Amino acid sequence: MNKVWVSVCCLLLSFGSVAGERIISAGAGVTELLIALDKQDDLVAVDLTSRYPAVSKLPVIGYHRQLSAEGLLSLAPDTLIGSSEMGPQSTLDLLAQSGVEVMVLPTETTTVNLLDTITLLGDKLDRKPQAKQLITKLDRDINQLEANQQQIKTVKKMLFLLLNDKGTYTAAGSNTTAHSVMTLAGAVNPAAELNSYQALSAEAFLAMAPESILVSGRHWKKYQDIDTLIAAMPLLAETPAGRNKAIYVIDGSALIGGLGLNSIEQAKQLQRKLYPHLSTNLD
Amino acid sequence: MLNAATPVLHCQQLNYNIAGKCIFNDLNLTLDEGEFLAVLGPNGAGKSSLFKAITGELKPSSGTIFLNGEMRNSINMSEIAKTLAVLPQSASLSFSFQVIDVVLMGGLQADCSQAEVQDLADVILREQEIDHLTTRAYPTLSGGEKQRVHFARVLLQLAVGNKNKPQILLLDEPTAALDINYQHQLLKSAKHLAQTGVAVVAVLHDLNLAAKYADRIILLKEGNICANGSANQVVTTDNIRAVYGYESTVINHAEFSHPIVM
Amino acid sequence: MFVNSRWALLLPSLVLCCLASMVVLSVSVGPMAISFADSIKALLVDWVNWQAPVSAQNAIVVSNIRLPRTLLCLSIGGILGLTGAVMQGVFRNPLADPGIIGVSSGAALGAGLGIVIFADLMVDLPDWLQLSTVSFFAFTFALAVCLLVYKLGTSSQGSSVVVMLLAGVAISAIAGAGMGMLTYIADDQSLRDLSLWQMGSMAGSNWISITISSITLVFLLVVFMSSAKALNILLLGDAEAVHLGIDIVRLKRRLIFCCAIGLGVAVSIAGMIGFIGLIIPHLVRLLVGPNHQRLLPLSAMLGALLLLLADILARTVMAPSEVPVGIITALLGSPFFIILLLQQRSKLGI
Repeated sequence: MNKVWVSVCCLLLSFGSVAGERIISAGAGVTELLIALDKQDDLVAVDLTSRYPAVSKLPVIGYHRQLSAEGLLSLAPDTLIGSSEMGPQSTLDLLAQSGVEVMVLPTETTTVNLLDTITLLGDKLDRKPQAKQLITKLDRDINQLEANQQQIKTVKKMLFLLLNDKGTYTAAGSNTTAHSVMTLAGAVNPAAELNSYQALSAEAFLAMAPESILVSGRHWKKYQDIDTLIAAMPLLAETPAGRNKAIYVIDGSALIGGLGLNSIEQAKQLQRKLYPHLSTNLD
Repeated sequence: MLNAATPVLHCQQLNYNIAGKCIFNDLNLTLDEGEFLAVLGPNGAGKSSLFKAITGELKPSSGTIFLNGEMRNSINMSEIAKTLAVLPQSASLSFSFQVIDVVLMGGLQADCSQAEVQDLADVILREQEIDHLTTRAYPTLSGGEKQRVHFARVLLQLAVGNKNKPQILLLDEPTAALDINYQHQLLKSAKHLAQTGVAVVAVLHDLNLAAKYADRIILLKEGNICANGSANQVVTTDNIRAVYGYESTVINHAEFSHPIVM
Repeated sequence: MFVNSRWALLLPSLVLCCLASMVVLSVSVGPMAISFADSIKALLVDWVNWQAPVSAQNAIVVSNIRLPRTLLCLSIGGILGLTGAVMQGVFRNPLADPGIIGVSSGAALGAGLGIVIFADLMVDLPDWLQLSTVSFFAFTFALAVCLLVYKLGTSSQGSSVVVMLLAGVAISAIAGAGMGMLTYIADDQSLRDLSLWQMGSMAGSNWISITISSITLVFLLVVFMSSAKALNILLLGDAEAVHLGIDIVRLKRRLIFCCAIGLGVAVSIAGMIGFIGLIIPHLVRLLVGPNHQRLLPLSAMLGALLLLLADILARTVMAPSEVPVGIITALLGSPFFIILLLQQRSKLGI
């Protein structure tokens, strides 16, 4: 009974806010959140990196650091939502001058930021219940992820490799979403002392001796199995990961736009695969 | 105050060494108002180096050059351009200027109005018989025509220059690209100019042309002046043998005003 | 071609008319659907009390977005066309690009440093200072490279154009290596910023940049026009220019440095916009001949015209997004240049 009431209220509330708010999203992470908060009908345009099926038909405003003021204004937006990386500042000022609300969200690198952002969006965009629901689920997921981390006896070394045609060994260091995902899943990143994506020399790669390799689904399509990968990157065969054929694939879209909902989801899946023996079940 | 005795050009103790080689050594040369001097010699004698030293393209290792009594180094460039004009052996111009534009370049240092410069240019073009080429594009001309255009330019430069001091015209193998008719015409114009008081120095290859037009001839060999005097004095079989190593026949006939070399 | 005097007098007026029309077009065209009449009204809203009021948003779009961009295109395009013409004259090379002395690569390196390395250092500075970090670095490096190239190509004997060209090539290579290094250590964000900067954009128009570039354009026009005759004579050759009384060392130094300043300003404001300096002087020479007294002002005007056209296209073809204007100038310029090359092949010996 309660559930029905809640649904009806939500329905009524959502009708109330159908009074046409026009939102432009300048970031993949922002778009993801807006879709999760059920605001995709109000989106009128998205940026270059927001490649989600739900918004595939929307006009693209280009790169979020090079926004065209007149281009945005021609879409008659009420709100522009993006990260602190949005720019140029002159465009944002002009939009504000024209009466557009410019909402700058903190760049999500930590889970705390993510939760705060969802709360903020929920308040501002009249999606408090959805936001609350989302936060509850995320909180639970994150707590479980962290609880599980405590249970891990031997932490596995996992390295994210950015696959490319040249066969160089480019790893993800700190300050990358890949790193955050791996850490959440309970793995340790031997490339943590590096910043952002860095190409490793053959020796450095071997020294890291990863026990498992993580790659992006988009690049994995080319290889499909670890033997093909080892053929292209022969040094892999010398690592524990190569010997044990321990390779994992993550959805590429989870790596764009900072730590987002899909990133958490991928972290959960990864943890399940890495440590299948963990007692607490994640759903 | 210039007196008649001050030579227009005076080269004193000129030395020029480059890369250990001595091009000319202790060279002295004087040129008076209205004198037509021809400089000749075999290849490598130092003619072009001497020429370049006078035009200022080359800095001699030691020695001084005086223009109308003043040291060349002490006169500023635009002043020199009003007194001294140079006709190069060849000038490359790949841009499509009209002939009249090229000639008018000679009027850069003019103190008078543009209209006057234009009038002077028109007169010179007519005198030099190239007025039919006035609006032609320079790159479309033949080598000889181009040379005549530059001669007109140089004449204009002198015409608008400083008439208070004696002027100098320097010609670097001006007849190279011309056929016989225009060779004579150019040298005749130069001679005519000399008669109005302009000193002329011409580097020539042809002894006969030099003999016909020059007041004085200098023969250079290995950087030294071997002969310096009038055509009759200089153009002799002995001199030619000594300088060029060539056995020639020199005809000195009363019928001709100058010696002829075969 | 059309070098007779009637055409030569008519052409500047014709070009000015085209320029004026392009200015009006630039102000009235854009991703925002504002009618032509409304655009003009919005432009004059400060001076005329219109019967039907102009919406605030239209006024902002026309006066604060389109108008500054239009004015900036005029000055930057003018600078690029002008410096292109002068560079081709100084180097006696009709294929000379203003960046030939390494100024462009120097500016790119400076901008790269500003974006990749020093961006972090400047985060605590006030906004207005931060915005010009990249500009400042681009400008200083452009000038530094020019100075270096000039010094390498000049000795007590005078200056050699060939040596300067070669020095420009060498320094461009070093700057390129530096850029490679920066590209390697840059994070994704900086990388994107850098590549966008290298493609040029007129989006950074504000009244400061317009004032600086306009003053620079006027300054360059004055300096270059006073040397127009000398530039003509310089085409005869260094020796001939000296014989006609021109101090070529001083002249070249003055011209090259002024070009470097102009290019530095243009590049630091708008990024790298290619082809204007290369194509426009050629086009003008085809129309009115190589006399710099006509070539220089027309190059400035046609440069402004081309950049205006490119900018209009840049902001409308992919609206609401914007194409970097350097791409459009290259797309407009390259085919034209190929046609030119085919025409001139006979002159070049084939």
